[in-house]
Amino acid sequence: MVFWVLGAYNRLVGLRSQVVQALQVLATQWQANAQGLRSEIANLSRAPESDSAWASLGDDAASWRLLAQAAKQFQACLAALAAKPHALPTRDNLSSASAAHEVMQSAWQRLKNTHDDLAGEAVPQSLELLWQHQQQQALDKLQHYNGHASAYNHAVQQFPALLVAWIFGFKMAQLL
Amino acid sequence: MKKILSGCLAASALAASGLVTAQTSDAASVLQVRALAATCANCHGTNGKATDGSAVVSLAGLPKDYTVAQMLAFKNGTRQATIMHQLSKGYSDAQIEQIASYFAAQKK
Repeated sequence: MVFWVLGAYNRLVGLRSQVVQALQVLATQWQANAQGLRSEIANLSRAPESDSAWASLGDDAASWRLLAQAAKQFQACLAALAAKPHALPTRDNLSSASAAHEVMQSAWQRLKNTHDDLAGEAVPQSLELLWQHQQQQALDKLQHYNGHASAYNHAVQQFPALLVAWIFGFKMAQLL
Repeated sequence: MKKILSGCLAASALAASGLVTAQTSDAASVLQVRALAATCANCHGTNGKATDGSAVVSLAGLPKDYTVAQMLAFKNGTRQATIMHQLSKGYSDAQIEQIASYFAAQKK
Protein backbone atom coordinates (compact mmCIF):
# COMPACT_ATOMS: atom_id res chain seq x y z
CA MET A 1 0.00 0.00 0.00
CA VAL A 2 2.79 2.38 1.02
CA PHE A 3 4.73 1.59 -2.14
CA TRP A 4 1.66 2.15 -4.28
CA VAL A 5 1.06 5.56 -2.64
CA LEU A 6 4.69 6.48 -3.22
CA GLY A 7 4.47 5.39 -6.85
CA ALA A 8 1.23 7.29 -7.47
CA TYR A 9 2.60 10.38 -5.74
CA ASN A 10 5.82 10.33 -7.78
CA ARG A 11 3.89 9.88 -11.00
CA LEU A 12 1.69 12.90 -10.22
CA VAL A 13 4.73 14.98 -9.30
CA GLY A 14 6.41 14.02 -12.58
CA LEU A 15 3.32 14.87 -14.64
CA ARG A 16 2.83 18.17 -12.83
CA SER A 17 6.47 19.05 -13.43
CA GLN A 18 5.99 18.46 -17.17
CA VAL A 19 2.97 20.79 -17.15
CA VAL A 20 4.95 23.50 -15.36
CA GLN A 21 7.88 23.13 -17.78
CA ALA A 22 5.60 23.26 -20.82
CA LEU A 23 3.96 26.40 -19.45
CA GLN A 24 7.34 28.02 -18.90
CA VAL A 25 8.32 27.28 -22.50
CA LEU A 26 5.02 28.77 -23.70
CA ALA A 27 5.33 31.83 -21.44
CA THR A 28 8.90 32.44 -22.62
CA GLN A 29 7.75 32.25 -26.23
CA TRP A 30 4.89 34.65 -25.56
CA GLN A 31 7.22 37.00 -23.69
CA ALA A 32 9.67 37.12 -26.62
CA ASN A 33 6.79 37.55 -29.07
CA ALA A 34 5.29 40.46 -27.15
CA GLN A 35 8.68 42.15 -26.79
CA GLY A 36 9.42 41.70 -30.49
CA LEU A 37 6.02 43.09 -31.43
CA ARG A 38 6.44 46.11 -29.20
CA SER A 39 9.87 46.82 -30.71
CA GLU A 40 8.43 46.70 -34.20
CA ILE A 41 5.58 49.03 -33.26
CA ALA A 42 8.13 51.36 -31.69
CA ASN A 43 10.03 51.33 -34.99
CA LEU A 44 6.86 52.27 -36.85
CA SER A 45 6.06 55.19 -34.58
CA ARG A 46 9.77 56.08 -34.21
CA ALA A 47 9.34 57.23 -30.59
CA PRO A 48 7.24 54.76 -28.69
CA GLU A 49 4.56 55.46 -26.17
CA SER A 50 4.22 59.21 -26.51
CA ASP A 51 1.16 61.05 -27.86
CA SER A 52 3.05 62.63 -30.76
CA ALA A 53 4.51 59.26 -31.74
CA TRP A 54 1.10 57.64 -31.79
CA ALA A 55 -0.33 60.56 -33.77
CA SER A 56 2.31 59.92 -36.46
CA LEU A 57 0.57 56.62 -37.18
CA GLY A 58 -2.45 58.48 -38.54
CA ASP A 59 -6.03 57.23 -38.33
CA ASP A 60 -4.99 53.92 -36.85
CA ALA A 61 -3.13 55.49 -33.93
CA ALA A 62 -5.68 54.28 -31.38
CA SER A 63 -5.47 50.69 -32.60
CA TRP A 64 -1.66 50.71 -32.64
CA ARG A 65 -1.64 52.17 -29.16
CA LEU A 66 -4.10 49.54 -27.94
CA LEU A 67 -1.98 46.78 -29.47
CA ALA A 68 1.23 48.07 -27.88
CA GLN A 69 -0.40 48.55 -24.49
CA ALA A 70 -2.02 45.11 -24.59
CA ALA A 71 1.37 43.60 -25.44
CA LYS A 72 2.88 45.43 -22.47
CA GLN A 73 0.10 44.24 -20.19
CA PHE A 74 0.52 40.71 -21.51
CA GLN A 75 4.23 40.84 -20.66
CA ALA A 76 3.41 41.98 -17.13
CA CYS A 77 1.00 39.05 -16.69
CA LEU A 78 3.63 36.63 -17.99
CA ALA A 79 6.17 38.08 -15.57
CA ALA A 80 3.73 37.32 -12.74
CA LEU A 81 3.50 33.73 -14.00
CA ALA A 82 7.29 33.47 -14.17
CA ALA A 83 7.61 34.63 -10.55
CA LYS A 84 6.64 31.12 -9.39
CA PRO A 85 8.41 28.87 -11.89
CA HIS A 86 7.81 25.62 -9.98
CA ALA A 87 4.11 25.95 -9.25
CA LEU A 88 1.00 25.46 -11.32
CA PRO A 89 -0.32 28.92 -12.18
CA THR A 90 -3.38 30.21 -10.40
CA ARG A 91 -6.62 30.68 -12.30
CA ASP A 92 -6.37 34.47 -11.75
CA ASN A 93 -2.88 34.67 -13.24
CA LEU A 94 -3.89 32.69 -16.28
CA SER A 95 -7.13 34.56 -16.83
CA SER A 96 -5.46 37.98 -16.69
CA ALA A 97 -2.79 36.82 -19.17
CA SER A 98 -5.48 35.33 -21.36
CA ALA A 99 -7.52 38.57 -21.26
CA ALA A 100 -4.49 40.66 -22.27
CA HIS A 101 -3.78 38.19 -25.07
CA GLU A 102 -7.35 38.50 -26.35
CA VAL A 103 -7.08 42.32 -26.36
CA MET A 104 -3.89 41.99 -28.44
CA GLN A 105 -5.64 39.70 -30.89
CA SER A 106 -8.65 41.98 -31.21
CA ALA A 107 -6.47 45.10 -31.66
CA TRP A 108 -4.59 43.28 -34.40
CA GLN A 109 -7.83 42.23 -36.11
CA ARG A 110 -9.10 45.78 -35.87
CA LEU A 111 -5.97 47.05 -37.61
CA LYS A 112 -6.34 44.40 -40.28
CA ASN A 113 -10.04 44.97 -40.88
CA THR A 114 -10.67 48.71 -40.60
CA HIS A 115 -8.96 49.71 -43.85
CA ASP A 116 -10.77 49.52 -47.13
CA ASP A 117 -8.91 48.56 -50.29
CA LEU A 118 -8.29 52.13 -51.41
CA ALA A 119 -6.59 53.13 -48.20
CA GLY A 120 -4.09 50.30 -48.49
CA GLU A 121 -2.92 47.97 -45.77
CA ALA A 122 -2.64 49.41 -42.27
CA VAL A 123 -0.18 46.72 -41.27
CA PRO A 124 3.18 46.64 -43.07
CA GLN A 125 3.96 43.34 -44.74
CA SER A 126 7.02 42.75 -42.58
CA LEU A 127 4.93 43.08 -39.44
CA GLU A 128 2.28 40.78 -40.86
CA LEU A 129 5.00 38.19 -41.49
CA LEU A 130 6.29 38.57 -37.95
CA TRP A 131 2.79 38.22 -36.50
CA GLN A 132 2.06 35.05 -38.50
CA HIS A 133 5.40 33.55 -37.51
CA GLN A 134 4.85 34.36 -33.85
CA GLN A 135 1.35 32.89 -33.90
CA GLN A 136 2.68 29.64 -35.33
CA GLN A 137 5.51 29.47 -32.79
CA ALA A 138 3.11 30.04 -29.91
CA LEU A 139 0.51 27.62 -31.26
CA ASP A 140 2.98 24.71 -31.25
CA LYS A 141 3.93 25.41 -27.66
CA LEU A 142 0.32 25.94 -26.63
CA GLN A 143 -0.62 22.52 -28.01
CA HIS A 144 2.37 21.02 -26.20
CA TYR A 145 1.21 22.59 -22.92
CA ASN A 146 -2.40 21.51 -23.36
CA GLY A 147 -1.25 17.95 -24.10
CA HIS A 148 0.72 17.76 -20.85
CA ALA A 149 -2.06 19.49 -18.88
CA SER A 150 -4.65 17.02 -20.19
CA ALA A 151 -2.48 14.02 -19.27
CA TYR A 152 -1.91 15.42 -15.78
CA ASN A 153 -5.60 16.25 -15.27
CA HIS A 154 -6.55 12.77 -16.41
CA ALA A 155 -4.13 11.25 -13.88
CA VAL A 156 -5.46 13.45 -11.07
CA GLN A 157 -9.04 12.41 -11.79
CA GLN A 158 -8.37 8.68 -12.11
CA PHE A 159 -9.41 6.37 -9.29
CA PRO A 160 -7.63 5.43 -7.05
CA ALA A 161 -4.88 7.99 -7.78
CA LEU A 162 -7.39 10.76 -7.11
CA LEU A 163 -7.22 9.83 -3.42
CA VAL A 164 -3.47 10.52 -3.44
CA ALA A 165 -4.11 13.74 -5.39
CA TRP A 166 -6.73 14.80 -2.84
CA ILE A 167 -4.55 13.97 0.17
CA PHE A 168 -1.46 15.78 -1.18
CA GLY A 169 -3.38 18.71 -2.71
CA PHE A 170 -2.70 18.15 -6.41
CA LYS A 171 -4.90 20.65 -8.24
CA MET A 172 -6.10 20.43 -11.80
CA ALA A 173 -4.15 22.34 -14.44
CA GLN A 174 -6.05 24.88 -16.48
CA LEU A 175 -6.20 24.27 -20.21
CA LEU A 176 -5.42 27.24 -22.43
CA MET B 1 26.78 15.54 24.54
CA LYS B 2 23.07 16.05 23.86
CA LYS B 3 23.70 19.76 23.14
CA ILE B 4 26.51 18.96 20.73
CA LEU B 5 24.35 16.39 18.96
CA SER B 6 21.38 18.76 18.61
CA GLY B 7 23.75 21.52 17.43
CA CYS B 8 25.19 19.19 14.79
CA LEU B 9 21.68 18.20 13.66
CA ALA B 10 20.59 21.82 13.42
CA ALA B 11 23.74 22.76 11.48
CA SER B 12 23.31 19.88 9.04
CA ALA B 13 19.62 20.74 8.57
CA LEU B 14 20.58 24.33 7.78
CA ALA B 15 23.26 23.21 5.36
CA ALA B 16 20.84 20.80 3.69
CA SER B 17 18.18 23.49 3.31
CA GLY B 18 20.77 25.82 1.79
CA LEU B 19 21.79 23.09 -0.63
CA VAL B 20 18.18 22.43 -1.61
CA THR B 21 17.58 26.16 -2.17
CA ALA B 22 20.71 26.43 -4.33
CA GLN B 23 19.72 23.34 -6.33
CA THR B 24 16.19 24.69 -6.83
CA SER B 25 17.44 28.03 -8.12
CA ASP B 26 19.96 26.25 -10.40
CA ALA B 27 17.20 24.05 -11.78
CA ALA B 28 15.01 27.12 -12.35
CA SER B 29 17.73 28.92 -14.29
CA VAL B 30 18.50 25.82 -16.38
CA LEU B 31 14.82 25.48 -17.15
CA GLN B 32 14.64 29.16 -18.06
CA VAL B 33 17.54 28.84 -20.50
CA ARG B 34 16.00 25.71 -22.06
CA ALA B 35 12.71 27.55 -22.43
CA LEU B 36 14.53 30.41 -24.16
CA ALA B 37 16.30 28.00 -26.50
CA ALA B 38 12.98 26.28 -27.23
CA THR B 39 11.72 29.49 -28.83
CA CYS B 40 14.16 28.81 -31.70
CA ALA B 41 13.01 25.20 -32.16
CA ASN B 42 10.23 25.85 -34.68
CA CYS B 43 12.73 26.77 -37.40
CA HIS B 44 16.10 25.60 -36.10
CA GLY B 45 14.95 22.24 -34.75
CA THR B 46 14.88 20.72 -31.29
CA ASN B 47 18.07 21.61 -29.41
CA GLY B 48 19.21 23.59 -32.45
CA LYS B 49 19.46 20.57 -34.72
CA ALA B 50 17.75 21.47 -37.98
CA THR B 51 16.39 18.64 -40.12
CA ASP B 52 18.60 17.34 -42.93
CA GLY B 53 18.28 19.37 -46.09
CA SER B 54 16.72 22.31 -44.26
CA ALA B 55 17.56 25.78 -45.54
CA VAL B 56 17.74 26.97 -41.94
CA VAL B 57 21.07 26.72 -40.18
CA SER B 58 21.62 24.29 -37.29
CA LEU B 59 22.52 26.19 -34.15
CA ALA B 60 23.84 23.21 -32.20
CA GLY B 61 27.58 23.40 -31.65
CA LEU B 62 28.00 26.88 -33.12
CA PRO B 63 30.55 28.92 -31.16
CA LYS B 64 28.91 31.16 -28.61
CA ASP B 65 30.65 34.34 -29.78
CA TYR B 66 29.58 33.75 -33.36
CA THR B 67 25.92 33.22 -32.42
CA VAL B 68 25.92 36.29 -30.17
CA ALA B 69 27.51 38.43 -32.89
CA GLN B 70 24.98 37.30 -35.49
CA MET B 71 22.01 37.82 -33.19
CA LEU B 72 23.20 41.30 -32.26
CA ALA B 73 23.75 42.09 -35.95
CA PHE B 74 20.15 41.04 -36.65
CA LYS B 75 18.94 43.05 -33.70
CA ASN B 76 20.84 46.19 -34.67
CA GLY B 77 19.83 45.88 -38.30
CA THR B 78 23.39 45.50 -39.58
CA ARG B 79 22.58 42.06 -40.99
CA GLN B 80 19.56 41.73 -43.27
CA ALA B 81 17.16 38.83 -42.88
CA THR B 82 13.69 37.68 -43.77
CA ILE B 83 12.43 37.58 -40.20
CA MET B 84 15.34 37.17 -37.80
CA HIS B 85 15.88 40.94 -37.60
CA GLN B 86 12.39 41.18 -36.10
CA LEU B 87 12.47 38.08 -33.93
CA SER B 88 15.83 39.01 -32.41
CA LYS B 89 14.28 42.16 -30.95
CA GLY B 90 12.25 39.99 -28.63
CA TYR B 91 15.34 39.09 -26.62
CA SER B 92 17.57 41.12 -24.33
CA ASP B 93 21.35 40.97 -24.81
CA ALA B 94 21.64 38.80 -21.69
CA GLN B 95 19.07 36.37 -23.06
CA ILE B 96 20.95 36.20 -26.36
CA GLU B 97 24.10 35.28 -24.42
CA GLN B 98 22.21 32.54 -22.58
CA ILE B 99 20.75 31.12 -25.79
CA ALA B 100 24.16 31.18 -27.51
CA SER B 101 25.77 29.41 -24.55
CA TYR B 102 23.08 26.74 -24.59
CA PHE B 103 23.49 25.98 -28.29
CA ALA B 104 27.29 26.09 -28.08
CA ALA B 105 27.08 23.31 -25.50
CA GLN B 106 24.96 21.07 -27.75
CA LYS B 107 26.55 18.41 -29.94
CA LYS B 108 26.35 18.98 -33.71
